[in-house]
Amino acid sequence: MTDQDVRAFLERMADEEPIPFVDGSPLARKARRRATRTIVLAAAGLVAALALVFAGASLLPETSADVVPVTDTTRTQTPPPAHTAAPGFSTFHSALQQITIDYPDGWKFRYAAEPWHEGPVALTARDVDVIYDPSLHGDVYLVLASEPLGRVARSDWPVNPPSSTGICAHATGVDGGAIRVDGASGWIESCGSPTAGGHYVMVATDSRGYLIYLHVADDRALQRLYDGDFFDTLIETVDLEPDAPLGSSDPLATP
Amino acid sequence: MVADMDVDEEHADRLTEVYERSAPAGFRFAYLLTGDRALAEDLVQEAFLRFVGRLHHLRDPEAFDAYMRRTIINLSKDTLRRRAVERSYLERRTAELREGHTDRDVAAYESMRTALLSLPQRPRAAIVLRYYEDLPESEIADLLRCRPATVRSLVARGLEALRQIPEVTA
Repeated sequence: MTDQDVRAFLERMADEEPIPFVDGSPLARKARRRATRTIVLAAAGLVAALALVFAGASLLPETSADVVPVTDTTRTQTPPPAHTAAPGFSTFHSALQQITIDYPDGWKFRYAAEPWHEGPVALTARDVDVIYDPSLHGDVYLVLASEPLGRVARSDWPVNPPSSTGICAHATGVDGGAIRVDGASGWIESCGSPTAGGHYVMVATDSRGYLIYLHVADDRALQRLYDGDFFDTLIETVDLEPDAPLGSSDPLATP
Repeated sequence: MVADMDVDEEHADRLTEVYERSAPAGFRFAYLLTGDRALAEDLVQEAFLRFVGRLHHLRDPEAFDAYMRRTIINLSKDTLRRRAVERSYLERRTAELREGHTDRDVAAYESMRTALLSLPQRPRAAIVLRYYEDLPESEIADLLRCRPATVRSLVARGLEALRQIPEVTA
């Protein structure tokens, strides 16, 4: 199929439905009414917010900034020198999982204390690296896990996470496709369920299989913010390092 | 007062003109992303309402075209994301069409249409922006908020999926 074939197909599809009659006048009036309403509501909201700030800000309860019950560390394992994070992002490198990835500034991380056993990828799991937003109380976090392929052929590395991980276990809708991560072929998918949404990538090099999972709680606002685009942005920064010397778990990660 | 009303009327006319000029192209673009006529109309109208509602029109009414594309992409993503039901419907429809059509060209077209609409939202948008809107990679990257290299990857993924269609590969 040539580029011209694709263009011809799209032209044909675009012409498949007649252009609807376009009368902009009613819509322009509606738009202006909406704009006026927006200004009024914004002004009212601002006044209300200021009143709240002055009246009761000091009465608000203090929130715990962190619900992760394991030891956090700000001591990073050294990432490869060639890896530079974009503005607003920091770099996380894991010698145990043999991976480097960027994450938003302000998030915290915790190294795995032991190799991955294909267990649940929960926030508190000891065998996965976790990067999380401490202000979101475990509602949004990124999990990194990997394991040697051993005798498993690269092509046999699954596109779906093992059921033992719990990822997308009760998915009511999925949206996925093939992807290349740092030159390796893999599969990217988003899933939604009554309890949580999330996005994951399964990718394998010749010697190592990787699972990268972004957990997002069942909250529409969070799921809009931490959507597939956000996940793609993180995945684009991934460096897979299957040939790097295998690091040990970080001693500071032991509770 | 009369002068103010004249300015308002003039501005309303200008908005109407901008919408009527841009809506047909926006409709085609939205239709390619969604495959749904009613939804495409809604997306274009909503893009215009947001454009005016967020007061962009006061700064530059001519900016509507660019704003419309970005808003349609975002709105279509919200609408279509995780629509497994839609995908299974499309797959069923393809099977029916394959059975019903002996005309090879029609079958290939319907299969491509289904394959395009079955793509995840970002590769689909990248294909439409690249091959229908003829936008450069840098502009597509800006619209999809990603790097140009990612645009190339998205387009390649989309094309690969389209090339898997039996009627096209045969």
